[in-house]
Amino acid sequence: MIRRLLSLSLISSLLSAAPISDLLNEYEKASDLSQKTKDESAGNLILYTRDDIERMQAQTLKDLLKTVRFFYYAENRMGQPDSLNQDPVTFFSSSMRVYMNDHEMLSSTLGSGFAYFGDIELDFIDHVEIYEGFPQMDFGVEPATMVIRLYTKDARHDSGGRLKLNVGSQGANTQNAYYSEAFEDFSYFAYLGRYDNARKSISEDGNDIGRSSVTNRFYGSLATEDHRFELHGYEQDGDAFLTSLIGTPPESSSQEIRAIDMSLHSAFLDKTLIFDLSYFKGSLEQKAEFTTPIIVPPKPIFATSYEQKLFDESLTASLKKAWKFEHSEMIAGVQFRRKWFDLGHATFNGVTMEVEQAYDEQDIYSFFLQDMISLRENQMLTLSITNQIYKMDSKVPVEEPDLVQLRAGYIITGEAWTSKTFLTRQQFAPEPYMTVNPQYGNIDLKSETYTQVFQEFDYKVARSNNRIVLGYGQRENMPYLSDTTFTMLSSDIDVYTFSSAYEFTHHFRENDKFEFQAAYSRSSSPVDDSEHVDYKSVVMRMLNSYEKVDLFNEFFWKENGSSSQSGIDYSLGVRYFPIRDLSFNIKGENIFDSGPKWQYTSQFDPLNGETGYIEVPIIERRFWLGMEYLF
Amino acid sequence: MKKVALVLLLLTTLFASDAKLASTIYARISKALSGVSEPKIYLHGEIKAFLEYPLANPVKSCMEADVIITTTMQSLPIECHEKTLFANNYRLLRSSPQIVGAFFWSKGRPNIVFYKERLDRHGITLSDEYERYIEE
Repeated sequence: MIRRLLSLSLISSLLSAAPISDLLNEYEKASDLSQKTKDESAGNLILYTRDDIERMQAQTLKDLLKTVRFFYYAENRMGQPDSLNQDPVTFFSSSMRVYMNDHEMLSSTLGSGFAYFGDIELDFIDHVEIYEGFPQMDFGVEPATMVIRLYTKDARHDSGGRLKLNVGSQGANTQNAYYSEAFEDFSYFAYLGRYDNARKSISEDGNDIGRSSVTNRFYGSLATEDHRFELHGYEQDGDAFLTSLIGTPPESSSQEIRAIDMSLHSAFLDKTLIFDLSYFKGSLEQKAEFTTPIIVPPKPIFATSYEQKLFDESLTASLKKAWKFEHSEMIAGVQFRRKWFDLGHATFNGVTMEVEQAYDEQDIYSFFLQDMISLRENQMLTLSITNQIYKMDSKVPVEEPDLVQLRAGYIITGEAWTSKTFLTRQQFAPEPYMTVNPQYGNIDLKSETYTQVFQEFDYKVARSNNRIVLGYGQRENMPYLSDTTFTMLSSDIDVYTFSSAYEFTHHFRENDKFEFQAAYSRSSSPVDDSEHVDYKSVVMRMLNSYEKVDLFNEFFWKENGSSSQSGIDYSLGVRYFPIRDLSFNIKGENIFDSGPKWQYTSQFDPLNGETGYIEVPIIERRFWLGMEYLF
Repeated sequence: MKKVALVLLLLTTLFASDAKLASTIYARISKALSGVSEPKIYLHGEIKAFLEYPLANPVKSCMEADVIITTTMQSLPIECHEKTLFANNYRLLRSSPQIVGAFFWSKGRPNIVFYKERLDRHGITLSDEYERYIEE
């Protein structure tokens, strides 16, 4: 206590003597929105502040996720974000959840919005928090292996407008603008952006396989002190890459995504009672032509043309109440979620096959309770429990999951160190694309149970911070695609995952920092318990500022499983401010075109089992030139 | 709960809270505008920073004040309009010729602006460290 008083007294006397310009700089840093939203005690946090995002010239979430320990960015065979990709399964990252401010952006079919928003443009985002593991209940009640929270820019800080333009290699380009204004009682924020993500085609088997896309996005918010309404819509037209089918690469393909997302956040009773309501509606239409007929199991169908439409809709309402006691803070709440989904429209060779789904509606009732207990001044214990009850409108008998999510956390701090321990047991219900999918769905798929212990240890010395992260997890009933029945099955084998990382951050000066990260993880196979995959990575990043110039250097090496997929991605960026409101930027990504690759099944003949693979750069070489103007 | 959060914060950095800094900045500006070491300040409207870190020398009537910090011109007694007024938003500064300057957020950063003509009208000369914030 005496030390604390001395610190505060020291701060006060330092402040009274500091020049006004220094006070203003300190105020800007202390007011950083990430300082207000981040919660170190909520989980294993990786934070990208506004300053980090701007100096890294991160245009989309992919630029941040590509180096995130254990969950490095990857894409599925449709060119969509899917970090936990298990090709040829279309999507495997349901446990990676994406939130914008207070609501989850959800695809009801996929179980998470990561495929739609894992590469979202960051130009209207203030900062990004990434929580590895299952975070606290006030950060969402759904089970998760990673929670990504995107916080939009705040009109009260960003009054005024911004115009940003970029041109890149391969013809890529971006244009976006926002304008916001804050009045005494309310504020508004409006963003409009276009992102032409032109990418190099991949040559395979005589075909040029495209994975380019053009995204148009709108985001708007209206806010008062206790209420916020948000409207977010986007459309994306582009290539479907290898498509969701497995056979031969397409001669041509296209993909259209349309999505709208609305939310209302309201706080009452001195912000102790929180009501959230959100609605998401989306559709995905995919078309492809093949020169060699592909064989579509299980019928089988020999197809040279293919078209599929998916529809997504979800409504979520939640109510949370917080109570503060002398030594604890308790949160209790309920959440209702209704999901609608339609995967049954597929056309092969011009003939539409309407498949009747076992169920197309799912209700999830969640009840949760969390208690954060201060054991001593430097120790905290967090206990939480959630019960989730699923109800389906199934036309056939189907198991309706009744799940329990448990979490315990213990945090202790010392003079210069912090230790965080989290023990979680989560249960994941199988998502609709794995159960009612007409191609490989299995309505008898079991819920997956994931038990995990995560330990983080931080030690600070002067301007440096050292962090060690260790994790161990066990997955029961992990889903996988059977290569004999071509349907999703629940594994009888428990899958084990071990994760470890060492991170070092050093601040040379106020605006110069060096970051180092080395990570290693091992994951066993759901098919053969004698097999495992090793993942290794090293990241070195420098952020420097010299007067009117910002420099960004990033070295990233990663190896997953095979050396042929390992690679080094070196990126460099320079930003120059001739005046305070105008900047010019240049950036090279994966400059030596030697970055990590990802392997996809490109050829598959179900009759004789012959399989071919291609390896594709996850992040391709690209150069950007741009400008930004504030008005 | 807050104690643990405080320890975590202090481990990360030793800077003061934004409310403390905002309160200090207003106090420094009030001192500069009034030319006295402990100016009497009248707050017209609500500024969050002062809820956490109240003004050092507040007065209950605007007539007694050396400096008035205001969020609005509405219901400010007309006899106080000729006092030294300082605002917390740019729109108010632009629309109210009685106000000499403002401390506000814009374009993602905090700003301080004084209008020279209005300072001259009040006979206020600021020290060199405020030079960069004075606009013609």
